[in-house]
Amino acid sequence: MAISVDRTLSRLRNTRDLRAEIASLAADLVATDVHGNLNIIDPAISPSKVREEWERLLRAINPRVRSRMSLDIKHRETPRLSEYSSHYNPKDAIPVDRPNYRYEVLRLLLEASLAHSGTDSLKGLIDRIGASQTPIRGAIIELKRAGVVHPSGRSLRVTPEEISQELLAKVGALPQTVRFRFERGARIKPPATLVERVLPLLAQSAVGSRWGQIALSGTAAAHADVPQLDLMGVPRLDLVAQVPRDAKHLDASLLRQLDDGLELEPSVLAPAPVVVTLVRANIPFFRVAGGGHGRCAFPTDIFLSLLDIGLRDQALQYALEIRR
Amino acid sequence: MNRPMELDAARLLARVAEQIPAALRMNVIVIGSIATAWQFRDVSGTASVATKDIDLLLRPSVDAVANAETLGNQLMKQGWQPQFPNGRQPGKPDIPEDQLPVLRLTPPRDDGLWFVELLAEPPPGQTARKHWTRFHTEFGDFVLPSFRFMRVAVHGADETEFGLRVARPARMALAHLLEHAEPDRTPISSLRSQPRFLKDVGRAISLWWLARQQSTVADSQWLLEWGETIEGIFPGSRTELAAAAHRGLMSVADYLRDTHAIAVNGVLAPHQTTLEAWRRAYSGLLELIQRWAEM
Repeated sequence: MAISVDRTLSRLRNTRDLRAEIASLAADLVATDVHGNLNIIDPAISPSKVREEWERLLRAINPRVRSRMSLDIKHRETPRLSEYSSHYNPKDAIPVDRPNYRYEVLRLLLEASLAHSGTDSLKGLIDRIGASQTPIRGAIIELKRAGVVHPSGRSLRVTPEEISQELLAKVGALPQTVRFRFERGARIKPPATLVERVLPLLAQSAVGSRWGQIALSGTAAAHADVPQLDLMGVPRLDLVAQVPRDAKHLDASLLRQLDDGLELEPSVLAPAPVVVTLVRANIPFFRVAGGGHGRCAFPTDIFLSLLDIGLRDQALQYALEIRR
Repeated sequence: MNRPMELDAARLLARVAEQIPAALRMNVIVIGSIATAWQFRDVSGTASVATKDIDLLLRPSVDAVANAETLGNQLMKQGWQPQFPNGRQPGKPDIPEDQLPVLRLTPPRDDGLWFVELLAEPPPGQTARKHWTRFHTEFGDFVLPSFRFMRVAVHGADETEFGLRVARPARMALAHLLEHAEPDRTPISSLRSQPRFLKDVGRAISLWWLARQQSTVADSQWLLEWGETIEGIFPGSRTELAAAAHRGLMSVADYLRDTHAIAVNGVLAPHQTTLEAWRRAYSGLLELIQRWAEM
């Protein structure tokens, strides 16, 4: 078996440490003829940045030594939504809140209402959200107490007309949303253009790919479902992202594929051209809508996004048309 | 340095095309900054370009000399004036190729605002970075330069309503990267003696930045075009050429600030792309090449 020197760097955060390790590994190989491998595990900087720095440093090392050096980058924790991203930047790792089960329960009950399946049971909710019984039961109790969810025999019922953004805020049933703006110096594109730009990504990517976890929502998706909806223009691009319940971070660099100039908007009050709503349920949440819109969110998410934009009348009109 | 005029790509292509004999037009492929402006004319601000030169590549290589003589003589008869940078004059048969000028022609009535420059498609098997081929005109002898990876740049060029063909961005970018797998450090006088590879590899990054402005699925399109091109010209060489393209791009790893400065005074002038966005474009292109290598 070939003798080799193995070095490991976990959660590498800067190129300074990388350079030091490369130099140290090279020094260990100088007086030997063994092979040296540098293992980078779960780097916090992008793999392409690591490779770039590796290639750069290698050029400064004696060819006899560098020909015996190799690099291996491994991800034990697959970064959510950031796999393959070259643009990964620690600033792009957006902390994801713990799942809000009141919101998850409400959106599923609302979906049942809009889809005319009418009601949903506790067991059905547990299965579809994928959480244990305790948080789901707790969420139902709170939503019942607030008068948002009504018992219907052994099942539960939500009426779209009773739901408003204010009520959702009051009962703590708002989802986590991630908002994006154009960075300084970027060419600003109108929301309608952003919708046009996102469609190929939603049409192209398969489930399991980076964009496979994202669907179109908001006014653009509402129009695809209900063309006669009383809407003029596109106020913003709304997307829904399915994020695993145990995710700790969301990689915002994904949005750079939509437009390179997008960055996180930290203020929830500032108008944002792109808003991503995070859903945490286990079940697939998307479908293919007509009109070349690719992957669209379920009507429940579209309804809730219209409320979030402040288009309650249009949300109610949408619900009415969807239930016809 | 005088700031070049902004020129409208479509108007220029039409103007050039009408001067080229119809039978010759399909053998003329526009490359370089005018081709870039044309291909990205739907990206806001890119339809015009701050440049003076319109590079016309003549193909196929076997007919390039005959086509250059026909075209050169015809344009000069119509009043186009040859330009002689670096004091070189059209030569006589006894003057060696490396002392002859390339043929640059300015059109009549445009006060020297722009000019066309003739290049030739390299013959299959050209291994030298640059090859000069002499051709004769009524004004004397000139040379046609051919760069070894220009066949990559013009492969599958788009037809236009003007009759000329225009090279595609993905393939122009790949040609630049391959060309500088071993960086050409020849200084460019118009760029304060910056080495040639900085301009060319930077152009590849600019093309990628523009492509992503144009389409969110530019990555798939580029991979497809690179694959088709290499299979068409160098079958079975994808791995080797992907490694060469990677080396070409890595050649500017330490010069991103310089390449950015050149780019925002060139094809990215209308966009004033930030240095941060430029770095991201560089990383994105590097990743694309890695994906291509691993396909």
